[in-house]
Amino acid sequence: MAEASDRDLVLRTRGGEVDAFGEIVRRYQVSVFNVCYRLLGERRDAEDLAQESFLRAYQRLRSYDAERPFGPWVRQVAARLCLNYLERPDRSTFPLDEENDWPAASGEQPEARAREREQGQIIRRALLALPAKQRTAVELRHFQELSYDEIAAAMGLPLSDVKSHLFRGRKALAEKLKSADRI
Amino acid sequence: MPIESERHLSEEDLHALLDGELAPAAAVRARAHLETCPTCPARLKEFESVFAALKGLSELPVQHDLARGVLGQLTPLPNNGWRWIWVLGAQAVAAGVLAVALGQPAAAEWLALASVRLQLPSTWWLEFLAWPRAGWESLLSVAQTVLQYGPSLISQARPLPWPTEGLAAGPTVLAGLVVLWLAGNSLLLLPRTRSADAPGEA
Repeated sequence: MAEASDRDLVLRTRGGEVDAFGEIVRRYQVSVFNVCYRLLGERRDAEDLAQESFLRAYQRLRSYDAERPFGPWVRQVAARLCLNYLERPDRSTFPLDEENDWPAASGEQPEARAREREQGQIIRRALLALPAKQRTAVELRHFQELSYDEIAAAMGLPLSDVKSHLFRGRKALAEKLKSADRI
Repeated sequence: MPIESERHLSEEDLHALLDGELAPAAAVRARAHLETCPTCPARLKEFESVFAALKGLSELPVQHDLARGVLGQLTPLPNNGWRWIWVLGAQAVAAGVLAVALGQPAAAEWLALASVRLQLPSTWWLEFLAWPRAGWESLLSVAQTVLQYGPSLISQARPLPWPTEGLAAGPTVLAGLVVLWLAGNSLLLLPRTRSADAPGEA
């Protein structure tokens, strides 16, 4: 039996089938969680915010255009939620969980895996060291592949500010990656 | 003659080139410059390494099924269609009653009497209320004309009587309007699971 499309699931949810939304959540929970984890660096916060993102999406489901892909939309909701969370004054610094929960990949060389993991840690730490807006601009551009205009709309910022955050963020990342290579 | 640095690509140009956000003509010029410039390719490469590093970042799995937590907090979405039909119906009825009530002579008399008893300082609103009455009269005049020149069966119909003689009790009418209005609007205020934010907010 063919898998139900996102559109069908959204329409069924609107019709009162809450379980259909559960299927949507299972479909996108990994990508939404990873948006939150890249921006927050802490697993529990990331799971909480990912869950909250789906709840927000559910509340807005009536105004959502079901002809548009659901994944990019809910990931943008997640990014905005995380940005708001990061900008809260009571927000503490950002620990990075040790990534000891990587999925076991059969047939992969342990050395290659360790290198990939180490490289991933370096990039995540560099990302987390960026100010919240720079980090979010990088997330929306590189992981969600939004245009400058779309990022401006998603973040509610002027285009010039978005460019500034994105370019500064990249420059800082380049410097951090370069210094990590030297170590 | 411009100094050499003026001919180099700006940092913004480098980013826009990598992002595919440069205008086509500007992108062609930028690529032509990169082929001959001794310094700009190295600057570009620095940013390309960032692009490559970010692209190579793996996704992590979730440790818990988020769907269970989400579903535990959901209630079926309210059926806005029925709610709006009810609201629009109630408000249409309220508007009709209002038009009838304000158009009848008895309403104007009752309001004039009330303003005297309450010693209201101004009666400008009575003049304002004369407008719907004038509107009613115009409407009736048009209706009479249509009926007179219509098919013979219709042309014999009598002019429309005032439809509101039985609604002379102003307070009753106003109270009814208030009830209808509140009934309609209260449906808009039914508690929801959570407030629905604008898409741009989170």
